[in-house]
Amino acid sequence: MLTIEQFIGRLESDFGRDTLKDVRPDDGLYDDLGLDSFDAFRLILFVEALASADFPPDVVPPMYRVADAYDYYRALTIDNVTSRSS
Amino acid sequence: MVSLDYDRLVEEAQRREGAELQRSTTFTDGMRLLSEDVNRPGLLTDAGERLLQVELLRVLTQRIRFECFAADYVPSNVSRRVTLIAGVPRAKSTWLHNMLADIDSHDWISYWRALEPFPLTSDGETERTGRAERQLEFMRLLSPSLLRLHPMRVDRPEECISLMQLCGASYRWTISLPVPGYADWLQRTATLTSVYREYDLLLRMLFPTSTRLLLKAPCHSLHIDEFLRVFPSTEILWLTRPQREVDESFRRLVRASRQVFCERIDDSDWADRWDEISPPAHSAIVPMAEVTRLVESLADKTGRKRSLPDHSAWLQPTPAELRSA
Repeated sequence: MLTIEQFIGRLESDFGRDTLKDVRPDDGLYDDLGLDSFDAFRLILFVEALASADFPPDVVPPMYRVADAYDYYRALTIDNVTSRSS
Repeated sequence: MVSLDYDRLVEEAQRREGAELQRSTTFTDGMRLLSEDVNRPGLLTDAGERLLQVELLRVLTQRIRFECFAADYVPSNVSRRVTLIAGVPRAKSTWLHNMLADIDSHDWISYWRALEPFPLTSDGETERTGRAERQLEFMRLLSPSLLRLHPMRVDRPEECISLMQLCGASYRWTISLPVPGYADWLQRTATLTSVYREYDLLLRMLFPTSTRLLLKAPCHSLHIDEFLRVFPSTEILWLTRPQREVDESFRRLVRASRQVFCERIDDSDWADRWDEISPPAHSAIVPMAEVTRLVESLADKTGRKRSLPDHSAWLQPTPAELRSA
């Protein structure tokens, strides 16, 4: 599982938005990072791919800050580990 | 990449429902073919894969519930008359559907209930409506022209192709996706006759005491004989429009639908598909330009002489749409 610093590193390098620099956990996705609704959807997919989620939930928890996106990543990763070991 | 493997999807659906899907049915035949078709490399966008997985799991879990409910279900013998809006697509059929739903005493199925009819009670209605709303929001995000071409709202009448996904055979898949193996299977007569019998059962579950049902799907026109075998007491409103206009408009709709899921947009599999249909005897032929006049005359016949409802209202943006705009 990535630490939040590693997660932010991947966001900055791989999400595909040049404006994502010096991102902090408390940055607002919309207010500070300037994501629009389409970017928000892409972010969901990005987090799910990072977590290698085969069956992500139908309803994604609300994400307003970078830390929320990281929490979703952690939840998916823990789910993956749990389902593989059961 | 999320999983679209049929066996894994079934396993996940069974895990969520705590019950097993019946094997070797028309439903499983169709769904397996569909899954094979959509797993072609380069077909879907990442977003398309994600949305399609949600759709497939929705259909599979609802199917499991349908099968569980059907195991002990005894259909009523209520005599039922069906009004079917068919004929060519892109001829104001959706508008007519909505207008008739409001002015006449038919039962009809809403969009959210067509997607998740089970449980048959109102349990979880808010959540089910919310999921349908979210689905439309994502479709709007990925293909902004789609809902302008074909308005859909969670609380308004929905055409049969959505509910028929639970029977495994639905043109909703072939409109939204280029799925040649599935499309070939769908066109076989034997497939549709058994599917319509299941569809009849589903409708009886949803409307056990209904004596008048309002259904709509131009796609029934492609199999109207099979439809009438199962629904013999059907009054058909057969919409018409010049063929060239139908073809252009429908293919525009196909392109907009496929933009939700696909990397490359190709509508050629739908070229000239509507040329061969013809209305059964005793159908009411309704040219597109006559839709308004027909509704007015129906209002007169039912004795409900009032002005037509303002259907611009249901085309207005919902609060969710305004938030996302």
